Amino acid sequence: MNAVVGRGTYVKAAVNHGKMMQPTTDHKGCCASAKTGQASCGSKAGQGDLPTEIWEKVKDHPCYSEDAHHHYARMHVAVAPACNIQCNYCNRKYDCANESRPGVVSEKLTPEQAVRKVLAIATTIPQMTVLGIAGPGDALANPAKTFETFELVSKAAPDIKLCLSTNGLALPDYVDTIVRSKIDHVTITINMVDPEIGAKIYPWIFFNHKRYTGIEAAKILTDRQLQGLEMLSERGILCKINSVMIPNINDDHLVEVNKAVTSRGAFLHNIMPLISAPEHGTAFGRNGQRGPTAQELKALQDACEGQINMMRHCRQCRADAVGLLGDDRGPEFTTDQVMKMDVQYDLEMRKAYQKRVENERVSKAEACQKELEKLSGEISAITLLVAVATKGSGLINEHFGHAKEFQMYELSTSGAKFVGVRRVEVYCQGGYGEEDRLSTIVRGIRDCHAVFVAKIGGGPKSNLIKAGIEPVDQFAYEFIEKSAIAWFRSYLDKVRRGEVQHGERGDAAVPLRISAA
Amino acid sequence: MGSAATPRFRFGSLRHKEECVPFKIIASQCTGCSACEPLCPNVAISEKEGSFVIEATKCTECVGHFDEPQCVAACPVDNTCVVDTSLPRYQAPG
Repeated sequence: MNAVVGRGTYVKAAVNHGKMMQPTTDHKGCCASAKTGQASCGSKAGQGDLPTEIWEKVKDHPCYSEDAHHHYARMHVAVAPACNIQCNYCNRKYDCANESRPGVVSEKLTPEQAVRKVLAIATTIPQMTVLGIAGPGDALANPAKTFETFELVSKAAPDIKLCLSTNGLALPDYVDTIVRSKIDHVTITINMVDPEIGAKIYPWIFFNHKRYTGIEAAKILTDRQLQGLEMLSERGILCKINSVMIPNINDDHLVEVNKAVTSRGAFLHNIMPLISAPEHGTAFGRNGQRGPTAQELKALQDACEGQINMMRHCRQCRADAVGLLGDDRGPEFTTDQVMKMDVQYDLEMRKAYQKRVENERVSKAEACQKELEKLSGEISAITLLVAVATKGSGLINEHFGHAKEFQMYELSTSGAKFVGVRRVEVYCQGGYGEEDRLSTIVRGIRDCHAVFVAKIGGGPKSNLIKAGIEPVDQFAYEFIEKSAIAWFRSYLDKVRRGEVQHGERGDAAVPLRISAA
Repeated sequence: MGSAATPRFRFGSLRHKEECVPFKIIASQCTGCSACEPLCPNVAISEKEGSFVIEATKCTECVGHFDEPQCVAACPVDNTCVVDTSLPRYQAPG
């Protein structure tokens, strides 16, 4: 990881403490076991060192548990179009079906339409366990519609977990309502705790019937956000903090944000890259503000890891997204289609399906554990990245050419650790690949030593080898972590025998998001 | 848009009828987000074909209610809630 250092103080902190390699005893992560100091695959399918009551809340929540995101799906209903602040990374006029980012929806729903959609999707996708309200504006700037939707859903489908996202400005006023509505997960977007930095991110807020601008606006916002977080923590509601990483504006400062939210009881911190394409028409997009590179993002996430778990599997989804995090099925469920569907909510069917998923998770963890034991005698300083083509269930089950994204794992003698996602354009459409797309993908994962796939064609295979990335298809349809560890062991063997010369790979110039539009 | 120092938006002040004109929403710019609707003290705003409209006869520019017109202050798109100069001016009671 020293090879990927960027600038700024946070990188130094990470290197000094080596937090990534040695989880501390009070590490709250759901993926690392403090007892063994080894990454991944705890004996209870991802519980790790989490207390059981917390694990019960997050174990089937794809956003709050990295392990769960391989198996469970979430959905958002777009009932909250109004917002009470303006952010420089958001353009409220933009709406495009091809575009995937927060704040974007294809159609807004009434609470009644939303409930119908929830029931239809819960029946069609039984691994959908979580309903979130995340806009397209702010959930708490539309309190009537938001809480009415939650009330209707909790009556019709009581097994579905409820969560909401907010910018936090109105949060202190609704904490009691949130508790009453049995919402047990709240995400607050906190990009700064310093109003001078906030003034560069938020042009204005609307608060107490008045528009505030500049430092005054940012001061009110940060005070309200931190107050709301404290109030929720006191009431035992799990809080995830989303922060948008904006190079040269708040990147170094997010270490301070991380400390501020950790000390106020946040459960999970999700640092996301700024999305700022000029065609999105956001203020940052128009003025040429760039987003971070994958390596800059990872260095910051590594620096913040320690006291609080870092979310690295976020896909920055739309406010009407449906399905597993990497696979938006929203377009299948337009209001017209949902209204035509014959929906019989079948709780037993859902429970039976989820039981099968749980069995699969246990097998996955056991397989990983077994493989990890074989690694226990190894001593090596080698840490490397691999990319995995998957469409869920924790399996290597996607063809290279069909992958919309690659999941990134960091391999070391501690095991396999999930460290992020790279989105790519689909290489193979209609059975043939296109050369320029292929080279874009290769560039997008050029910091990896290997890519694990279910299948791969001859052309891409030789291109990857030429780029120094080993295409690995011998673990097709097997569990990801188990396979990655097995491959890593044989890699170490080859290095020891002198068959392979291990070298550091890649640089920081990887584009994080290759637009699908 | 107005401040406490400008007499015509002073809280609770009576205004001269010729100083007040109602607001309108430019439909092509309206995102339909509904932020303005619940804020209007005169319940003058409603949804119409995906965007929002202000009933001109009800609009009082929020004078007597708030320091600034609420629809203008809350609207996410600049220059979308604007003064409608084509309409006859609002007649303040009394």
